[in-house]
Amino acid sequence: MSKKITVSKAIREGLLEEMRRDDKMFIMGEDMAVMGNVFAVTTGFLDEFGPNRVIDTPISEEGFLGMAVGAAMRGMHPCVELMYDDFVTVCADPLFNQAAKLKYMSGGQCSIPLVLRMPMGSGRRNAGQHSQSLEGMVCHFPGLKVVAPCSAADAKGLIKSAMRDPDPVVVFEHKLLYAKKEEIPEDEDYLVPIGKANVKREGKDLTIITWSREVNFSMEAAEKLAAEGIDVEVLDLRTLVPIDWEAIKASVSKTHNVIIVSEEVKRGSYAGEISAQIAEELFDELDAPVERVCGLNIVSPFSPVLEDQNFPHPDDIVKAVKRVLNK
Amino acid sequence: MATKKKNSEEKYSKELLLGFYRTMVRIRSFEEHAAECFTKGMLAGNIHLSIGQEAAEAGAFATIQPQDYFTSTHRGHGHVIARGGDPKRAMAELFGKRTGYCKGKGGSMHIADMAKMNHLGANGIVGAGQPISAGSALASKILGDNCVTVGCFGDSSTNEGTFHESLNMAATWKLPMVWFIENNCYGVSTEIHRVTNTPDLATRAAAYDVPFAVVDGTDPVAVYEAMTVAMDHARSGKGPYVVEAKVYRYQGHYCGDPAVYRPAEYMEQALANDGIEKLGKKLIAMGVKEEELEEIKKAAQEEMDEAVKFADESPYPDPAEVTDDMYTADNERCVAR
Amino acid sequence: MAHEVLMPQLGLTMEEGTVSTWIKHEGDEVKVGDVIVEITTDKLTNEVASEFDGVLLKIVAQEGEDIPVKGLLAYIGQPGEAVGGAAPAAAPAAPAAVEAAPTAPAAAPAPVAAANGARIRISPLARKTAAKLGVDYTAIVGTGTSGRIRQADILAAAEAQKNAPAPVAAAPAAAPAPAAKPAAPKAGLDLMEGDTVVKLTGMRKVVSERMLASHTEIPPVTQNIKVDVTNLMKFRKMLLAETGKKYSVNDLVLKALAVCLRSHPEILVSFDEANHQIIQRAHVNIGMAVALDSGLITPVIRDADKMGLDTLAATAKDLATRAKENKLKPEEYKGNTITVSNLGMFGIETFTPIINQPDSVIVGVCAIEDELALDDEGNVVKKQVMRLSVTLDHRTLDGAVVAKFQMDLRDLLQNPMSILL
Repeated sequence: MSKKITVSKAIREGLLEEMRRDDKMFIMGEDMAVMGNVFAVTTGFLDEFGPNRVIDTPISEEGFLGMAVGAAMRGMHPCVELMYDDFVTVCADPLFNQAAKLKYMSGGQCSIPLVLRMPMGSGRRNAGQHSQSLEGMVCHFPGLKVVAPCSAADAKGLIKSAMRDPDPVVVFEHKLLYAKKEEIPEDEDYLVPIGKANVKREGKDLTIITWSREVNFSMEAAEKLAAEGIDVEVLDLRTLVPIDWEAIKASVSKTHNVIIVSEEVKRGSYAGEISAQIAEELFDELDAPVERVCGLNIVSPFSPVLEDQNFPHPDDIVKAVKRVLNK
Repeated sequence: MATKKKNSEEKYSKELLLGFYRTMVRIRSFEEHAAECFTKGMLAGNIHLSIGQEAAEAGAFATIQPQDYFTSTHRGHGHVIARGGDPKRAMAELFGKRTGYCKGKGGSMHIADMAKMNHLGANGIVGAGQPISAGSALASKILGDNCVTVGCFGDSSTNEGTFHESLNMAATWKLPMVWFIENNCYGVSTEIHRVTNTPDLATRAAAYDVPFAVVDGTDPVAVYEAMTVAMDHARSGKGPYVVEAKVYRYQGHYCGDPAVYRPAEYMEQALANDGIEKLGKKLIAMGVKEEELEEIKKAAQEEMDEAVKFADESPYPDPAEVTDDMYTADNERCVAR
Repeated sequence: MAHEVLMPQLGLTMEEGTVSTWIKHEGDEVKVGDVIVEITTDKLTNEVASEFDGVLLKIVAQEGEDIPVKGLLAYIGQPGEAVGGAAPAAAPAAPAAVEAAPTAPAAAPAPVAAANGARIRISPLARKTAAKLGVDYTAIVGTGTSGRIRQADILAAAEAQKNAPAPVAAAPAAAPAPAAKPAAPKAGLDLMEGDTVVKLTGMRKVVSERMLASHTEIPPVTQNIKVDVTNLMKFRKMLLAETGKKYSVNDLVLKALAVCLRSHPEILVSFDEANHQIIQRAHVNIGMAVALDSGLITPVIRDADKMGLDTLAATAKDLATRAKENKLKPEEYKGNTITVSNLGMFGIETFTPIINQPDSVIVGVCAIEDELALDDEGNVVKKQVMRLSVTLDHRTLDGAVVAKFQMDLRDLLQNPMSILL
C-alpha cells in the first residue's frame, strides 16, 4: 500500500509519528509553533503537543541550538530546525564544538540525541546567504551523523531513524524538494536506516554517486545517456556520515568509472572527500579519473541566469559522463 | 539585590562554616598539588587554577541540592571539589589517565560527571556553558522535575552573545536556572573594565528582567546567602537568577603565566582578603581551636597527596581506545571514513 | 649495472629520432625527472627526462646522430660504475623498468614505463587487467582521454594476441643497430669559401622528404579562382561591430571551406597506391599549414564542418599557437583529409601549393587586393578580390570536378551570410 504526498508532508508525518511515540522529543526553532513552520512541516503540532514540546524561539540560533544540546545531555530528544543551513555559521559552536564533541570529551558519559534539520540548496533565487550546500563543512566534524534524502519516502524514513538515533544527526533537506509529490508507503512504522545508500538505477558503464536534489538530476541525465547507449548506475547515498562504503565499492567495482555530483562549492566539497577515498582504496578498479561535478568556487548568485550557472544540471552531468568515458 | 550583612555568620552554625573551610582548604590543596605536578612536567597541556576563588565556590555549591545540575568552565577544578567529586579521578583526568572522569579524553578543561555529580561538563569554549545550562533547565521544565541547573561562568563570558541569547530565553520561559559568575576581573590578560562598560556584570540581568545579586566572593557566607535566595527563586518556578561573586585569581591565566600585565596592588588586595585566612580567623574567634584548622589542612594535604599518587600510578588509556566513544551507535563505521 | 637511456617512441609513426642537444654532459649528476637530452623527431622537439638518479656516465649517441627507437643514447649510474658491455649491444634489452611494478606477476611483467623509458598512460584497472591476462601494453594505443589505455583496449589486445600466430613477449630481435644510419650514400657537394653546413635534422628533414614524395608521386594541377571578397570584408566588420569578436579572413575561409565540403564529399579522397584503391574520407579534417622557424607543420582541425565559427576560430588559433610553441601532440597533426595553406598575409597573389599527402586537394589562400570594376549601371567601383589557388591530385580528381567545388566555395565567400547558415 502506498500513497502520494509531498516531501514536506512526509517529513511532517515522520515528525508527528515520532512525537507521538516519544514523549522526550520536542521541537524547537524559528516559526515552528504558532505558524507551524514556513514549509508547513509542523502545522497542528502546537495544538496537539503544547508549548513545552513545540517551541517558537527568538532569532538566537547559537542560543537555542546550544540549549538543545544541554537538553539532549539531560536525555531529551530535541529536533531543531535552522531555517536555512547557511545559518549554521551563527551557531557553529553548539553544533561543531558541543554536540559533536561532548560525548567523546566526556569519555562517553553522555549521548547527544539531537536532530538538526537544515533546509539547504540552491535554485530558489535567494542569493549567497540562503542558498548554500554545506555538506562538506558539516561532514568534516567527527561526532555528527549526516543524512541528505532526495525523496518523500526517504525523507520520512530517515527523519524517523534520526529521531531514534542516540547521536546528533544533521538532516540536509533540499528546499526545492519540499513541494515534490511522491509515493510513500502507508505503513506508519517504516524506517530508512542511517548509513545505507540506495541504487536508484542500475547500470554498467559508469557510477554516478550523488545525494539530495542532484539524485533527480542524475536520473534525468541517466535517461538521456541511455538513449545514446550509455548505461549509468545512479547511487543515491542518502546518508553522508556514516557513508555506505560497501555500496560505493560494489558499484565502482562493477562500472570502473565514477563521477560524483553535488551542489556544493567544488573546492573542499564532500564530493572531493568521496573522490579521494575512491582514489585511495579503489585505485585498481578505476578505468578513468574520478570527476567531481559540483558548483563553482563562487558565492551563490541571485539572478536566475547566474544562479543556474552555479549548480549541476542534467546536461552538465551528461557532459561529465561523456568526458570520463571519452565518448 | 542582596548585599553582605555584618556578622551574618553568627546566624549559621559552626559546622556549616567549618564545612566551608574544609572545602576551601581542599580546593586550594588540590590546586597546589596540580600546580606542583604541572611544574614537574607530570601533566600535559594547560591547567587553570581556582586559587583565590575557593570561598565563592564553597558557599555557592553548599546551596546546590543533589538532584540539581551544573556546568563549569576551563577554571573548573574547584567546582568538582566543592560538589563533592572525587579528587583522585579529577587528578587522574588532569594526568590524562584511564581512571580520570573522562577516561583521559577531556583533561583539565573538560571534566564532567553525569552519573554522580550531575556535572554537565566543564567547557573549553568561553560562553558555551550558558546555553547548555539553559537547555538543561529547559529539560527540567519539560520533564517537570524539581531540578535547578546552575551555570558557573567567569566574568569574560558575560560578553559572549550566548550569555544574552540564553538569558533572554530562560527569562521568557521561566526556566529553573541560576547563573553563578565568578568575577576575577581578568580574561587572560585583559582587565574586565577595559572591555566592559558596567562596574558589575550581573546588572546585565536587569535588561532581561531577571533578578540578580553582587556579593563578596571571598566570603563564603555572603555567597551562600545570595545563592540560597537564587536557588529558591529558580526552584519555585519564577525563572532564572544571576549571582556575581567578586573573587581573585592568584595565578596568571594558566599555571605558569607570570601575569606581568597585572598591577602589584591586585595581589596585595587579594592576599589581604584571602578567604581561607579570613574565615580561619573568624572560626577561631568563634572558639574553634587552631589545631582543628591545622588538622583540616593536614587532612586535605594527605588526601591530595593520595590523589596525585593515584593519578600518577594509574594507567594511561590503551591507544586502541582512541576511536572509542565518538558515537553511541555505529561508532566503528562512523569513524572508519 | 648502469641504466641505459634509450631513444623513446614519441609518436605512432616514429622510427627514429635525432639527438639535437645534450642538456646534461658526461659526469653530470642527474635526478629522476631532470631533462637530459633533446630529441627532434618526426616534426617536433622533445625533451627526454631521466628515469633514474645518478650520474650521466657515458653519452653514446652524439648530437646530430639519428638513432632508431629503443636505440641506446647514454648510460646513467653511480660514479665509477661499469657501463654496459664492451660495446653497446645491438639490441637493448626491453624491460628497462624492472624495479618498478613490484606486484608484476612472473608470467607477464607489467611495466610502468615503456621499454624505451617513456611513461605510458594507462588506467589502474587496465594495468591490473593486463597483468592478469598477460598483455604487453607498451605498444597499445589507448582510447581514453589523452590516449590513456583503458580496460577495453587491453581486452581487445588480449583478443588479438590470442589470434596472433606466435605471441612473442617483447622480443626486440629486429631492432636495428643503434649506430646504423639509413643508407643513402649520395655524393656530397663541394663546399665553397664562407659556406656553413646545417645538418638536415628533425622537422626540416621530414618536410623535405614529404614535399619531395608529394611532388614526385602526384601529378598536380593548380587552378586559380578569383573571389570578390568585398562583402566578406564588410561582413567581418559587421561581426566585429555586432559581437565584438574579431575573426580573421582565414577563419572565414576555413568556415566556408568546411561548409562547402559538406556538399562536395568527392573532394575528400585519398589515393592508396599500395592497395590500388581510392579511399573516400568520412570526416572533414582540415589540415592547416603553420610556418615555423624550423619548417612547416600542419595541425588538423577535426570535423571542422561540425564546428560553429567561434569554435572553429578558437581551435585554429589554439593549434597555431601551440604549433609555434612546439606543444602539439602527435595525434594533433595527423588525420587530415584536406589542407589549407595561407600566404595572403605575405601579399602572394597566386601560388602552386604542394598537396599534403594523403589528401587529394590543397587550398592556397592568397592576398586580398583592391580592383576597379564596373557595376550594373556602368559606374566604376572599387572591389576587393582574393584568389584561391587550389592544387588537385589528378590521379583521383579531375579539373572540372574541382572547378565546380571552387565555384561553390567562391559563391559562399561572396555571400558570406550563407556561411553561417
